[in-house]
Parts: sequence; structure tokens; C-alpha cells
Amino acid sequence: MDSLLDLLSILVPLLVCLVNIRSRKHVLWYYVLFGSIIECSILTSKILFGENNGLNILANIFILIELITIGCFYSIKFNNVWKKTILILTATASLIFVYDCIKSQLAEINTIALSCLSLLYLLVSTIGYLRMFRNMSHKYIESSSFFWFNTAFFIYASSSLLIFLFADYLMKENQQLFYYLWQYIYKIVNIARYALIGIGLGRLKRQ
Amino acid sequence: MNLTTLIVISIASMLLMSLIVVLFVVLYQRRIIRHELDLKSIAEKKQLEVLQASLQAEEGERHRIASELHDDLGATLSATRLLIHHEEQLSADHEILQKAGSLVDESIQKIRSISHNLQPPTLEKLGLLSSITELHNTLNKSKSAVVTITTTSQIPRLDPHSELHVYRIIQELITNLLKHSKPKSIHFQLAAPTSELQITIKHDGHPFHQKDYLLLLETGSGIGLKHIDNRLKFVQGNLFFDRPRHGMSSINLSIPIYSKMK
Repeated sequence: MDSLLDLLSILVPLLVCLVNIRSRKHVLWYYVLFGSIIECSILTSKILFGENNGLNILANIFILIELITIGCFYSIKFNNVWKKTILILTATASLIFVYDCIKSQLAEINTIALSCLSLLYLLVSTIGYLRMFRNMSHKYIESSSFFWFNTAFFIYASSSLLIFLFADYLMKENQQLFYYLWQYIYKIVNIARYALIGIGLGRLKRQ
Repeated sequence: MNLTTLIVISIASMLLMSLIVVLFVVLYQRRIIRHELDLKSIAEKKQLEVLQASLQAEEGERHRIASELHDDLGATLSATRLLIHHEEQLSADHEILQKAGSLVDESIQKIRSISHNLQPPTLEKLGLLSSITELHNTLNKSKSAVVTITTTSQIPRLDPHSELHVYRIIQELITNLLKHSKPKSIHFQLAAPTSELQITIKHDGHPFHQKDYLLLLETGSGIGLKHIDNRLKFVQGNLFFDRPRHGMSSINLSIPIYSKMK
């Protein structure tokens, strides 16, 4: 089961990159591409060297890429008022994240910063839904690519927020439970996120 | 309950909540769209009712003017003609009276023509096919173009209002055709293969494209075309300006026969 989830974590983003390959002009296509590269690197390293904390640097880099790409995606989608707010929030959060990573240890995943980012994603995706209600550009909301992208970030952020927030506590108190949460909730939600983005990229073609 | 259990419950609740929110978004958006579509449909229905009332008023007025012209003014002129004829036999100055008589004859003819144009007499009695045949005869007489007509199947009668609307559409199309496309020959083709009346007007004049028709409707610059569109809405018909083939352009008009025509 564990190895299947690890395999899916890599395969799903890779397949998503192949879905509607013409949509590579879309900012989220690059996001999925970076995600699949990082997932690939982590798994390869695990297989070759066992658990390797040095790879957390890669994870931190991906978190930064994630922050910038999601910020760009929403700033493109939103109107002028929200556009500026999101760009300012993204820039500030990126700077704080980089500063915090350099100040503490770059090789350790900054879980507090990650939970703050999850909260930010939760906020922007909620605004995304409100914007969809206001615009009503699609008769069936499922035919909109933005709906799938937004749902991907909304579900991912709402599930991972508490996992990241209590990661340090759970690792100290109940490592086994944290492992299960990570393996069976976080990873499944993460796969679902890529799959939903894949559906969204697929919808771009039809639109 | 310790903190660890609380965390697990909170994570599960968050996941569940997010799924409920997504479901709510989908269902709520559908509900709003359905409501908007209902409102749009009510507005369209009202618009159609207003259109129907205005078209009926217009046709009523045409009918009234046609009757007044034919029965009142026409009769007066006919009486005048008789008087002139009578005076012609008594008076020595034949030439002036003959000229006056021929002017009155011409006026009677013009009034008949205007009256028939306003309210085609054959339409109500004999139906659309006879009216189009009459229109074809009139066009041939006027020598504006060589007009031919063919029917490939029996043409059923529509309800009187719909027949009048279809006739007016054809009248407007022909007027526009003669004015803008300047064809040398026009061919009418009528068929009713299934539950649809199909009227094709083929001509060798300057082609008019479907995109131009839609553009004129959108910009509202073609009043005649706007009238055609209003009447088409009323009879639930379709009009399509086909691409020219072998030098002949065609205008396809289709009207459902068994639809709920008002």
C-alpha cells in the first residue's frame, strides 16, 4: 500500500503533465512539472539512500515554487483589487519563507510556514469560489477549468493545514500516528490535488 | 479525549468539511443558474407576447387600411370613372375626358395593388402556396427578374397568423433581394417533407452571407431584417443564407408545421 501510494505520487503528476500537452503555456502546468520532478527526486533518493533529510532542501524549494506559481495563478484570475492584494501577500510570504528557512536550518521542513501557506491557499481558494458565484460564466460549473484548479487547492489546503500545524507535536508524541496521517491522508489528498489539476488542464482544451 | 485524538478528529472534519463545501458550491451554482434561466425564459415569453400584440396590431391596421382603400376609395373612384364615361358620351371635348378617365383607371389599379399588398386576398382563402404564386406572377409582370416556382410535395395549410407571417417574411426577403442583390432570375422551391415547411429562394444576384445577416441583426441596423427576425420568433422558424454554389445563392427558410403556433 505504501509503495503504491509512493508510486502514484509520482505517476499522477507525470500523467497530468501529459494531459492536454498544449496547455503547457498555463502556469499550473509548470507547477505540476516541478511537483513531479521533486516527487521523483525524493523517491529516487529514498530508494538509493534510505531516509535522507538532505532532500528537505528540495522540498523547501518546491514550497517556494508552489507559493509563487499559485500566487501568480490567482493574481491572473482575479480582478484588479484582489490581484494586487494576492501579489503583495505572495511576495511577502515568499520573503518571510526564504528568510525563515535561511535563519533556521534549510535542511528541515518549516512546518509552521507551511501551515501559514496552507491557510493562504484556503483563503484564496475561498475567494475563488466567491468569484465564481459572482461571475457565473458557466452553465455547469464542472465545465470550468478554474473550478477544478480551485477545488484542488481548497481540498489540499484544508486537509494539510492541520497536519502541518501539528506535525512537530505529533512527531514528538506519536510518531506512528503522524506516519499514518502523512501516508494515508496527506499523500492521498496530494494525489487528488494533482488529479484535479489534471482535470482542470484537460478542460482548458474544451474551453 | 487527549490532544492527539482531537487533532485526528479535526483533520478528518476539515477534510469532510472541504468536500461538503465543494458539493455545496456545485449544487448552489446550479440552483442559481436554473433560477437565472427561469427568469430569462419568463422575460423572453413576455417579450414574445409584446411582439405578438404589436404584430397583430400592425396586421390589423394593414387590414383596416386595405379595406378602406379597396371598399371606400376604390368604390368612389369607380363611381367617378362611370361619371366620366357618361360625360364622355355627352360632351364634345373627348380628349380631356379620356385622359381623366385613364388617370382614374390608373388610380383604381394602383389602389387595388396597394390594397392587395397590404392584405393579400388569396392568402386567407387559398393559402400560402397560392399567395406565393401570385407574388411570382406579379414579379414576372413587373419584369424585375425572371421568377420560377416549383413544389416538390403537397404544401399543407398553416394557421392563418403563421401563414401571414411567413408570407411577410418572403415579401421582405424578395424586396431586399431586388434592392440589394439585383438578381436576373429568382427560383422559389417549396417543400414539406416531414413536419417542416421548407422554402428555398435561389437567385443569381450578389450573395448575402449568414454572418452579415447575424451582424446586421446584432447591430440593429437592418430594420427589414429585424422584422423578419421578429416574425421568425413568432413562427419558431429558421432562416439561413447559404453559400453560393455554381453562381446561385440560396436562402433557406424552414418553419415547423406541427409546432404550437399562436
